[in-house]
Amino acid sequence: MIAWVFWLVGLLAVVDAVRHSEALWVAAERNKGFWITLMVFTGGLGAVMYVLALRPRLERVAIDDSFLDPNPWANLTSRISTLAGHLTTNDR
Amino acid sequence: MSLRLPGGDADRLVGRSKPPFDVLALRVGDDTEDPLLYPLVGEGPSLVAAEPGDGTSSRAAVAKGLAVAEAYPRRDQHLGGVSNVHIRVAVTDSRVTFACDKYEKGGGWFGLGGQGVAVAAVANVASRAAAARRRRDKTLVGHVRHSWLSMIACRRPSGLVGGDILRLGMTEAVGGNVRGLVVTVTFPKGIDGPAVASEILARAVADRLRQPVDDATADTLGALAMAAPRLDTRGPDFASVQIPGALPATNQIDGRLGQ
Repeated sequence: MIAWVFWLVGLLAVVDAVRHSEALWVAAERNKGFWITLMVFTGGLGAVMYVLALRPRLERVAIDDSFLDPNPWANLTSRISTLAGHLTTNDR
Repeated sequence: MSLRLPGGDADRLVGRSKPPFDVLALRVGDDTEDPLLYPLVGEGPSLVAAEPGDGTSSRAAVAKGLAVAEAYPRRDQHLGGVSNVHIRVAVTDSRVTFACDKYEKGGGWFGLGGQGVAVAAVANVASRAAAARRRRDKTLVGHVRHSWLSMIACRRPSGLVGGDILRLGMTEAVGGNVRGLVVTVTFPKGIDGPAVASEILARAVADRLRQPVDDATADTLGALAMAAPRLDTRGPDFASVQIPGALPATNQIDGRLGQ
């Protein structure tokens, strides 16, 4: 039961970490990739460290949202279509 | 003033009577030398002291990499820069400023096994403390004035990782010889690089149209101002815009700076 709780907390923490934009992580002077990897490999322990130490820091950071991508998912789909275009071109 | 370029030959500029202008400098304490070439350190989120020409509507962005290179036709020569740090970028009415107070972080050690992890942890703490000591009272600053700006380019990486990349082209004539410089700004994912490029372009064009320019230049600038183009970054290469009428960066007041 405790293992399941730890696993769930770990999963939620990873989802929460992914949800915060990389710009916010850079402004908080922390490495997003490192922390997500740490949480994946250490499970609940990394998640507890994230929730106690890092998440409050991410929430505290205030960045000017002037240039934040208004729709990062549109950006992602445009990147995927560009990548697919490159692959198609290279296949010919 | 101690001028040093991180990532380059650290102390090569110290003691030179006519240092080449490399855009970035480490300002120590309340140093106020060469305010035309390098921004002064200030309070506030941008870490740069405001100038009268900056206006009141500056916009800020976060970047994670900054590099300066000397422009050559085939391959640019890297002069210095920083990466994987928090760089504050501000776009004002007269310039684009860059500032970073934690330009050197230390750390990076890792180990395997119990002893390895313990040794790496100690090494990281010591390395971070040494880096903090080295950068105490220093701020990495730089700016590109709109009057110097000759080219803006932007590229969105085609892969799924990596952020947008912005390039600002200019020339400098501080040491007597004219040479081209390219400032490359790497944004984290989530920052809209083409939007930053458009903002810089709009303000640079507006700044130049306030100055006396010849008719052909005025026509081109007018067309740029009307179109307000957002750079098309869908291709694999940099999308770029040339801005006519740029002046080389100098440490002489030319009547157009700081207005």
